[in-house]
Amino acid sequence: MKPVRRRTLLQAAIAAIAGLVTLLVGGPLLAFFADAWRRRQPRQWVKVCDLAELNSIEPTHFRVVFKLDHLQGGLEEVRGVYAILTDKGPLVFSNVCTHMHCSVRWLAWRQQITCPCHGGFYDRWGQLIGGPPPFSLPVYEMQVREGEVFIANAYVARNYL
Amino acid sequence: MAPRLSKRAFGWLDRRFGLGAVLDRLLNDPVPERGGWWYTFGAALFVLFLLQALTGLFLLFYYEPTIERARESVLYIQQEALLGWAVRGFHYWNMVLLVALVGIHLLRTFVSAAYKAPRELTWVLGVLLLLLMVATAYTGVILRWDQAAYFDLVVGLRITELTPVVGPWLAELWRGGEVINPHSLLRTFAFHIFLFPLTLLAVALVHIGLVVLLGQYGSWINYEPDPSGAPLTEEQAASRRKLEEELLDPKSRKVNLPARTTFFWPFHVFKEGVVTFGFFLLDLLLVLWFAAPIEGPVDPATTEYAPASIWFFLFFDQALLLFAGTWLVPAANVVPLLMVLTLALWPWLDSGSEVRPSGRLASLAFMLALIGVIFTFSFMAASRIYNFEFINHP
Ligand code: HEM
Ligand code: FES
Repeated sequence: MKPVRRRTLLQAAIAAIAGLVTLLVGGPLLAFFADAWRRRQPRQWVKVCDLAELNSIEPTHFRVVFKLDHLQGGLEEVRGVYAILTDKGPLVFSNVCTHMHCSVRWLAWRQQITCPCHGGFYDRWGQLIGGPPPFSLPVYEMQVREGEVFIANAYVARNYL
Repeated sequence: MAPRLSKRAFGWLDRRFGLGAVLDRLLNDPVPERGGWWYTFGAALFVLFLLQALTGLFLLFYYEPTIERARESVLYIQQEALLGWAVRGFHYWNMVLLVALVGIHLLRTFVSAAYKAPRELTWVLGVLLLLLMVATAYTGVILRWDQAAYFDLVVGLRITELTPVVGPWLAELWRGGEVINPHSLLRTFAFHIFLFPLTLLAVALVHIGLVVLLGQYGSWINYEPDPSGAPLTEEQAASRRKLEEELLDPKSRKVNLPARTTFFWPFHVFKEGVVTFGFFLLDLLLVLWFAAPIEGPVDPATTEYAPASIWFFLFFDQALLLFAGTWLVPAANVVPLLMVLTLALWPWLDSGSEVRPSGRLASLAFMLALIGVIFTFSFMAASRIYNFEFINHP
């Protein structure tokens, strides 16, 4: 009776120590790895263009640079956007296809925005016309200040699945 | 003097850990003789994987895993470093052969019904090896950090993001942030050079260990009378006697007795060596004829660049196009997961004792359908990408 009890006790102790060490090592490592969950890119307003550069016929392509100061390396993030004039003022939307996130482009000869990956297509305002994308191109928060167009790194409607 | 020295060294090691018994178990192992050339792909995979690790190690002496320097350092390897084009070429083309070989080896063991009891675990670990091989190849492409690499990462992250419930969190872990950033490359780098290949190596060793423990099965032809009717050679008879003894030994895990067996060393190793060397020569030709690809610097905002999927994901890319809309999440996640699960569970789905292809028509039909879909979809995707070139640059 006695040796069996001792054996069980030792086995339980080993399991407890192994479990504790796994938690003590694994927990912090996973937390360390998941640091990104804690960091949010600060909200920023960035100039896209002068209002005068836009027209209401064709969307114009711009590169917008946001900061990544919240991460080590402090580099920049380049995003592509399209901007077009509407009755309600400028409309700035993403060039990231809502299907697999390829970069869409305005094709003047088709008078459409097309995605090179699977042929999704959108109209000049970024509204989905057809193809595999599930949604229209997401629209950026926008402000006009003294004739200049600014966007924030946030969508008015985050049209993602 | 030399043979005596090696003999003494052998004796020394033998007294420490029984080297003689280990070598006897591994080298004088009886293996099926007929069809032996078909049973060489696993060995070729293992050797070419080691070569891949070796060229990878040497690339690390020049490669810089930062988004500003990665592509530049790859260009330096390709154009400046002495024989850099060859080292990088070998790392690239050998990856292509490895992915192809995993497919060939899977097909041979599938057709052979080598996954049946007691080899189910060998097969399940094989499926894991397939996943690890593809994951290693895919993350390797991203390290170039050129236009192709960037959009391969973008699409991979998108698919991850579409995973039900945990997707966005997983994607953020891999990306190291809400958007692609310098850490995204570093993390992918750590996966490619450490996590995936090391896991792959460990799993491969267990996989091969299981083959040694259970004895190589071969295929149904090894359990029919040998049509040649030739008498066993002395060595073949000796190997067969050894196997018969092992089958009686209660400690042995072996259960099959092929009609004609031979010693692993040197008879089967010779075949493995020839096939491996053949793939090595193919590697060499590819390296000499075709440079490993590299494209322009990353521009996420591009209006010019048309991304194309890596060749071994072309069928997946096509599925993402064909099953869009409400089918997008199933096509990107659920269906691939179910496919891998079905493949992994095949030993239990086809668990009968029938091992001949003629008696396993359902199994063959499943595999043919799978290959058919993969090849048809890949072809559709390739021609679509080719045609889009004209739409984008009329
Ligand atoms: C890195 C990848 C892999 C390595 C290094 C590897 C290695 C090997 C080796 C050396 C053998 C000995 C016999 C032979 O070559 O046919 C073997 C057998 C086997 N492999 Fe793999 N393998 C890999 C991937 C796979 C995959 C993807 C599968 C299937 C899903 C698989 C399933 C099997 C089975 C069932 C056997 C037993 C064959 C028999 O007993 O005749 N392996 N493997
Ligand atoms: S990524 Fe745009 S259509 Fe697929």
